Amino acid sequence: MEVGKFKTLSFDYKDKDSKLVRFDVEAYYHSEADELFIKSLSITGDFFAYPPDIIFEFERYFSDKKVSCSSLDKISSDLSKLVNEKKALLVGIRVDIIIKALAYFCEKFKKKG
Amino acid sequence: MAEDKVFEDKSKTDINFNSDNAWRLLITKTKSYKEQMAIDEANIEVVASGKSPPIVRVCYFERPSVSIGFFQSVYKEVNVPLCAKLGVEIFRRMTGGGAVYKDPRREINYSFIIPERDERVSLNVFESYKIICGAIIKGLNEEFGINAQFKPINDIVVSGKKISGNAQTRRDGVILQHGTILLDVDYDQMFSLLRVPKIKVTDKKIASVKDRVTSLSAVLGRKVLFDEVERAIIRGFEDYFKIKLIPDELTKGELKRERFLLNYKYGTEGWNFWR
Repeated sequence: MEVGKFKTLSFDYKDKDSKLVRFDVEAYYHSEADELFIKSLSITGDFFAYPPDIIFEFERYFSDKKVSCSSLDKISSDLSKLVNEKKALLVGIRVDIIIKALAYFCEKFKKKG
Repeated sequence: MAEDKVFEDKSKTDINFNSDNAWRLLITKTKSYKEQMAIDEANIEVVASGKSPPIVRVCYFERPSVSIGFFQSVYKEVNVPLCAKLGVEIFRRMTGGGAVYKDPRREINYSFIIPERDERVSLNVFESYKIICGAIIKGLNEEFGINAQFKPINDIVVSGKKISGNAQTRRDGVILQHGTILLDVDYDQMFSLLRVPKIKVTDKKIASVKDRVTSLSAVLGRKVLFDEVERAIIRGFEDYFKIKLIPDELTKGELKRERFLLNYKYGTEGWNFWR
């Protein structure tokens, strides 16, 4: 991984119930593999999560994570599994919102190079 | 020896509150709102341990503050330099939700702590918001003759405008819900200190953030006194849950725990600025 090419991007998503989820990623896009090398993903906002630890589990999951932009289904499945294992209740944040953020980051990185 | 005395004092609670329908009423006055956060956690612990019945607490504080939700980034949500310049404290709640300006002259706050398996509330988070806000709504409507209503997930509104924000967490089998009731609003101060994201305003097609928030004074067209709102909160909980609130004080054990939590958690930069 070429450390110098890591870039930061932000994405805000507001759900219909008016909660705001803010994503900040530090990542490097590998164009040939169509993959994001995520150094860190921060998830903040005015949502609720019970238990709160589930958000940190998500963040840990993405720490130094390679994500294939063409197959985000696997990520979705992994995150849903985490939610089920923790018996977590998410209010104002959902797994599909996180996937939306990843798709956004993939697109942005593709355009920016 | 001193330690023993501190915890002996907790037996006072067992003696005074021997009925399912007698809950503790605490009125706490502090300089900083951070102390109120520490009291919340100390109260959670004592209810979780079974040594205290449910607690309704009315909170007064002296210093203007900005409160941020547990998951929020302080630098994204708050104008930190302006807060520092104006001497406005910033603190992080243990509950989720959004950032709010807390004006000690214009609001009353409450905390409610109850075991989550108590059949008078609900294990379901959405339902329990509705139930607990129902007590506040009942008190406000009966005391002031207004038409406050619950707006999911966690707001109380009058004529569609938010008059009370509420947040909840669950820990050790206990629900904590705390919230704010606005007596009046200093809109300029509120929105100068908060970085309200444009996305939150435009999505609802609301021209101004001011249109989303109201206060008891604005609704009633007169100055509203703290005593009136305190009475409404007490009346609301007693009538809604059909219980009696017994005035009480923090035990020595709770006070000791509050000091510890203030010094090592809620009063620290490590907690308040950790993200």
